[in-house]
Amino acid sequence: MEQITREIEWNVTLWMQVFLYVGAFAGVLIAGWRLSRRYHVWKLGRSANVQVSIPRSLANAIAWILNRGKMPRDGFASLMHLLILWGFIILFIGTTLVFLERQTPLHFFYGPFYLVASAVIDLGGLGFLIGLGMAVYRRYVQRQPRLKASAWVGTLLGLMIAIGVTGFLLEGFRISVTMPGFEKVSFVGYGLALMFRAGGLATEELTRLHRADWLLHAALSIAFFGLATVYFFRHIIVSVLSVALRPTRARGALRPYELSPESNPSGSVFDMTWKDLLDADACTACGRCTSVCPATAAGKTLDPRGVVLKLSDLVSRHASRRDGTTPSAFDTITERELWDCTTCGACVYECPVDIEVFDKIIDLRRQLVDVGNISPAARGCLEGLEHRQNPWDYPPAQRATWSETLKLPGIVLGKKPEWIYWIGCAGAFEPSAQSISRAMVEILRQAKVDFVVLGSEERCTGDPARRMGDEGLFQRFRNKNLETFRRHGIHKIVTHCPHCFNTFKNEYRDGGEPEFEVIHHSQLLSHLISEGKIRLTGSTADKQVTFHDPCYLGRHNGEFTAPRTVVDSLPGMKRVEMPRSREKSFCCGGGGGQMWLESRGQQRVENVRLSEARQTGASLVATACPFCKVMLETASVTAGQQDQVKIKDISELLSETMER
Amino acid sequence: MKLAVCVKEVLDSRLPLQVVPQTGEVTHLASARVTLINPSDRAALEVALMLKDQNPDSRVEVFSVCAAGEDNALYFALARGADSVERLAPDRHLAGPPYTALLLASRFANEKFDLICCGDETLDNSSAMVGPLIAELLDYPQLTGVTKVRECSCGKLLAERSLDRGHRELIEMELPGVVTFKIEAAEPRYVSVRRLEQARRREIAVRQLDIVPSKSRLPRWPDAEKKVPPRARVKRKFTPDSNLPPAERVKMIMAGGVAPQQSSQNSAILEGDSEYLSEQLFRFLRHHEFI
Repeated sequence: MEQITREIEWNVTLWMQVFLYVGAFAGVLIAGWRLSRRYHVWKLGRSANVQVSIPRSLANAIAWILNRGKMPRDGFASLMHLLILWGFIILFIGTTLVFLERQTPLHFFYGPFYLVASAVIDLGGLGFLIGLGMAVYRRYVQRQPRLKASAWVGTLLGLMIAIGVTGFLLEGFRISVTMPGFEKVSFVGYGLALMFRAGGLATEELTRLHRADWLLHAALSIAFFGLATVYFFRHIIVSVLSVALRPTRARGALRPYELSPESNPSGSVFDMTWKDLLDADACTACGRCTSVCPATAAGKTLDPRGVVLKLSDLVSRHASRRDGTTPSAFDTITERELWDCTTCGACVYECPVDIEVFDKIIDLRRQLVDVGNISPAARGCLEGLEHRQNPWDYPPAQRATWSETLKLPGIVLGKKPEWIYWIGCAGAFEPSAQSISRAMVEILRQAKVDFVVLGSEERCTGDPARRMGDEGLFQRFRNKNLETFRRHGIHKIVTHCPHCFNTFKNEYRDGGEPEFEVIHHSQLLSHLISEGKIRLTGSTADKQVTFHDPCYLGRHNGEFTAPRTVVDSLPGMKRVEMPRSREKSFCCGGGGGQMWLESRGQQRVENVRLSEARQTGASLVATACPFCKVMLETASVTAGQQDQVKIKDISELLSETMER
Repeated sequence: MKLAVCVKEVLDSRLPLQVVPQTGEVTHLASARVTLINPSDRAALEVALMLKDQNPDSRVEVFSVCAAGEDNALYFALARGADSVERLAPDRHLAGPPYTALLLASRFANEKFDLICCGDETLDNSSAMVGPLIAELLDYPQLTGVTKVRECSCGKLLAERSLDRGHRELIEMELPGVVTFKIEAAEPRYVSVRRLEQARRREIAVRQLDIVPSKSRLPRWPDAEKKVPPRARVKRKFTPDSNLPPAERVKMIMAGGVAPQQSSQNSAILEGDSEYLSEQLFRFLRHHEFI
C-alpha cells in the first residue's frame, strides 16, 4: 500500500537548505536584536508602579490571544484578527512539525496524523489569506477613516499575503508532480495541482517552478522574521506584553506620580515610565481611541493615538541619535493637546491592547505643572484650590451659604449619624448645582435618612488638582479629608458628585482597604425607591427623557443601572437612549479640569453631546453629575435651546415627583 | 549679572479679613492664616527669573525682612527657582517701610547687585516706599511702576511704564539700579505643591543686621495715635447717566465717575461694509484714546 506521507524537502538541494536555515537564523537574530534594543530604551524610563505577577500576566496574555479581550467589540476587525493570528499560528506549528520530522529522530508525520495535519494546515492557510483579504478590504476598499494609511502597513500586508500565496503554490507544485490520491485532504494545494496539470505544465517545468517558488517563499518568510520588530510590525510582539502587564488598579484611579520627592523632571522623554514607553511601542495605530475621543470629535487638537505614536517616535529618535542627547516629550507633543483631555477614559476603555492612554496625558500635564508652565486659567484654578480649597476660587467661608435657610444638621459631638452627605464644591458654589444639593436634602428628609453635612469643614476632594497635574496638592487634600473623617468617625458617605465619589472610592485607599464606604446618590436613591421609602406621584404626561451617563459614574465605576432605575421609576417618563450610552457614553466636556479651563477648538464638547441628546427627541436630559448638568446647560444656552430642552439631575426629577 | 529681589509675605486678601480690636492686628476671619507672596513681588521675582533664563550666568537672590514664622514668600521664591534666599531679621520695635528699606539697603551696600527688583507696592501697607528708599539710600537710579522689561544688557535696562489712558513710556536706566514692578510686568508661573514641599525641606539663611536707623536719613513712619473702626455708611454704587452715549458712559466708568459730562454729539449710527465700519470704529477708539 502507498505510504501516506511526503518526502520532506523534496526537490530541495543542500544550498537551498543552507540558505533557509542561515537566513531564518539571521532573521530571528535581527528581530531579537532590534527588540532587545527597544527593551534597553524602555529601561531608560522612570520606574513604574507595576507589580509584575507572572501567572496573572500569562493569564492576561492567553485570554487575549484567545480573543477574549476588547477585540470582539468591532466584529469585523475581530474576525479579521482572529483569522490572521490563528492562521499564522497554525502555519507556524505546521512548519515546526515538518522541521521536527526532518531534523530530529522523531518520526510521526505519516498516516492519519499526516492527513489531519495537512488538512488543518491548509485550512489555517486559507483562513490566514481570508483574514488578510479582509484587512485589505478594510484599508483600501472600505477606507475606514480611523485607519491611517501607511507604507509600512501596506508592506506588512503585502508580505504576509505573498507568504500565504507562495506557500499554497509550493504545495500545489509538489502535489502536481506525483498526484497521490490521499493529498486530496490538502484541498487548496490539490486544487492548484489539478489546475497546473490541466494547464498542461510538464513535470520538469513543475519541478523547476517548485524550486523557484520554494526559494521565494523562504526569502519572504526570512524577511518577515527580520522585520517582525520594526516600526508597525512591533505590535505583533509588544502588544502581548502591554496586555500582559495591564494595570490592576481600579479604572477610575489615576496612577500616582512616579517621581521621587527630591528629583525633578529632567525634560527628556525618559521622564515617562518604562511602561509608558513599552505601551507606546505596543500601539497598533488602530485609531479606536481617537475615534471615541470627545476632544477629537469637537475638533480640538488632541488626538490620543497621535500622542502615543509621537511618544514611540521620540523613543525611536533617541535610539537613532548618537550624540547621547535625549529628545523631550514636548518636542512633538504640544501643551495644547495635553490640556484638551477631559479624562473621560473612553480611549482606555476602547484600546484593544490596554494602553493607558490618558494616564500618559496626565503624566505629561504633571511635568508641565511641575515647571509651572501652564495657562493662567489652569493656574487660577490650582491656586484657588491651594489657598481657598475649591477650584472655583470662592472664599471657603461661603461654602455653607447656599444652605443657610435649610438649617442642615451638622456634626454633633458624641453622636454618630448614619450618613454624611458630602455636598462637594460644585454643589456648594455653582448655582445650577446647588439645586441638586437642595433636592437631595429634601429627599433625604422625606425618606427620613439620618444624615449630617460637614458644612465649612468640607474641602475639595482633590480630583481636579490631580487631573490637572498637581499630585502634591491632591495628596494634601487627601490627607486633610481623611483626617477630618477620622476625627468625626465617619464611615458612610453619600455624594451626588461622581468626581467626589470616584476619588473617595478609588483614590483615597492607596491600594489598601477603604477606610469608609462611599456611595453615589443614584445608588442611594434607587435603594430608597425600591424600599418604598420614597413614593412617587405625578402627572401621566408622557415625556421623553434621555439619560446622559457621567464618565466618572459609568465608564470609570461601572454604575449604569442605578441612575436608570431612578429615571425609570419616574411617573410619566419614557426613557430613550442616546446612540452613545453606557460604556460608550460621550463626555460632557467638563472632566479633567476642563470645567475651569478655556475651551479651544472648532466646537465645544458639550454642544456635540447636547445635539446628540436632542436627536433622540427627548425634551429632558437627565444626568447624575453636577458637572454634566452645568456643561450641558451651558450648551443649551449657547445653542439657544434652553426653552426646548431641560437638563436635570435625577435627584431634582425625583424631588419634583416625590409624594410629600 | 547679579539680581536681587525683595519680597514680602502678605495675607490672602481674597479671604475675609478682620482687625483684632485689642491689638490692631489684621487676621483672617474664621480661618487659619493664609499667606501669599505679595503679588507685585511675585511679578518682580518672575521678571528676574526671566532675565536669568535669557542669560544663564545670572544669579537671582531673594531677600525678605520678616520675623521667623513669616517667611512663606521666601520658600515660595525658592520653589519658583531662586538661586538663594535670605531672611533679614528685623528689630521688632522698629517695624515699618523705612526701616525695611534701610535693612535691605545696608545689605545691598555690602554686596553689589546689578539690578534690585521690588514689587511696586504691597497688598497690606501699600506704601510703595521700600523700592524708592533703597535706591535713595544706595544712591542708585530708580524706575518705579514698571510694566514691562524690554531689554537688559550691557549695563543698561530698557523698560516700559504705563501712563494714564493707555499711554506708555519707554525709559532707559543705567545699572546698577532699583526697579519696582507692577503686577502686570510678568505672567507668573505656577508653583506646584511638590516644589513648595521640596523648598520647605531646605534651610533659609538668616542675617541679623544691627542697624539703628538714623532719623536724619529716613522719613519718619508715623505711629498711629489711635485706630478708629470704620463708620457704618450707606454703600453707594456708581452708575453712569443712562442718557449719555455709550462711549461717554464707558469713559465715566473708567474714570470712576468723575469724567465731566460732555455733549452727546459724538454718537452716530454708521452704515457701510465691514471694512469701512472697522476703519471708523478704529478711528473712534483711537480718537477717544481707548487704544
